[in-house]
Amino acid sequence: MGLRSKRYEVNDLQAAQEFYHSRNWTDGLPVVPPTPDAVQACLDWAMMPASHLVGIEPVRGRVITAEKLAVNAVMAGCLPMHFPVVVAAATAMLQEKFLLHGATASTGGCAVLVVINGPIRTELGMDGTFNALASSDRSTSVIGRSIRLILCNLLDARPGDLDRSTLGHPGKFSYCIAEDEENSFWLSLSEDRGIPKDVSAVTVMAAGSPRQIMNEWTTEPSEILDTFISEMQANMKHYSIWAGNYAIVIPPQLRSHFKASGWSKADIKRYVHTKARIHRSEWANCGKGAVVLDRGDREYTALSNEDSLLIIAAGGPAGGFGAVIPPWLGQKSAAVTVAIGACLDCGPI
Amino acid sequence: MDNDYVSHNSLKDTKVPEQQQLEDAMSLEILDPTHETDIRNFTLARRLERLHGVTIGIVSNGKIGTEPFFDALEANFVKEFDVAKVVRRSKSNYSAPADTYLMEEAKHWDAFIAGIGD
Repeated sequence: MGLRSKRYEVNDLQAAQEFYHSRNWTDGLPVVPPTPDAVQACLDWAMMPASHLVGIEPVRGRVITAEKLAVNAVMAGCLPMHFPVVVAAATAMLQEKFLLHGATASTGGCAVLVVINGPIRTELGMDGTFNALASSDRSTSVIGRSIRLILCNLLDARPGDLDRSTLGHPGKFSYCIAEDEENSFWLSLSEDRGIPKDVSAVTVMAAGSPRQIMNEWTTEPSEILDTFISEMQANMKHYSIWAGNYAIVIPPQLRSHFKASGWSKADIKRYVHTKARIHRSEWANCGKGAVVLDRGDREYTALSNEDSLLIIAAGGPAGGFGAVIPPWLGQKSAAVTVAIGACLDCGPI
Repeated sequence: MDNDYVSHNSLKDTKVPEQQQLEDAMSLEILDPTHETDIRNFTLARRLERLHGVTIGIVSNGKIGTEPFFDALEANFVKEFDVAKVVRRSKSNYSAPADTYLMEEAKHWDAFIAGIGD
């Protein structure tokens, strides 16, 4: 069965832009017109029929097909080679535990963080070094952007429509990172989450904006982590006290100290889980005293368990700058990891 | 005369082949990126003829901002409209649909009011 999307004819490229913008089908930036040939090329690359059911958004029962993902991927600037990653990300987001509807509609304004692992990073020219959290390379930029267009056009998650974000954050344009596996002595994020080595994978997380930290005054791993933990504790006080998935991005300059001291990702997770805690009474120091009540002694942990922490090796070669990426809201949404291009009949992780 | 009419219109309708090719090349056929699913037609729930003696369920999304409004609403129902019972419930997750048990319970109500707060 061929493409079933409704077709329109426009005079030229400029007309195509205004056609899509006037219908609120874009993210405000120019789009690549999704011609039938371009969309079919994506489907051919991924060896998927247009009607292939990628998943169903559980809350509204919205069917998501390969064709519709491909249309939006092309609009975002994806080439056919990017499309399997887009499909994997969508598959992960549609898992019930990700709670895509809630994450997308919430006033909390999170975006979908996408982390790429495995050989596909080098195949697509992804770069997990300089500007890892910004526009580091074409592939992560367009894959991240496709997520936003998919949410807008397939789930009506447009500002003021389903998306009721008070503020949102710039990650809603594109929030995609390739882990710098070649320069890391650790297990990759996907391996740490159960994907076999050398299998490409994508991890999605409903995430707030990244909070940059800096520590260039120690070589002790515990002290470096204390800086990350301080930012996590600040998030618990300033934003949400509830435990959930946190992601931390550790650049090469800081990773070298962990390597010198022999700290694994497991060691980091154990340390952070133990120390990233606050007491409810601390809310009184940041304007939230009204809700301390008689529960000031109650302790809250940033992570419900050690594996809630996602550790990502990324960043340019110089600079003791890391990042804490907080969850949307506690455990309402769980990070999901799926293999890319794996057997379509296999259940995701 | 007929020949003149035909030749005049032929000139009007004739384009230089290269020009036609260029125009055809410039036009784009593009696809709809939206879900294009059929919109379900919602109909209004049946209106109650009276409120006297009925059971009304009020379901909050679970946020504290709903409480003062629903408190006032409940008081109004009881005092002004003499309802038999007002059932107050909250969703366990304000970012997800109502719990299944709650929807089962709602089948026993005469009216259902849902609201969101922050």
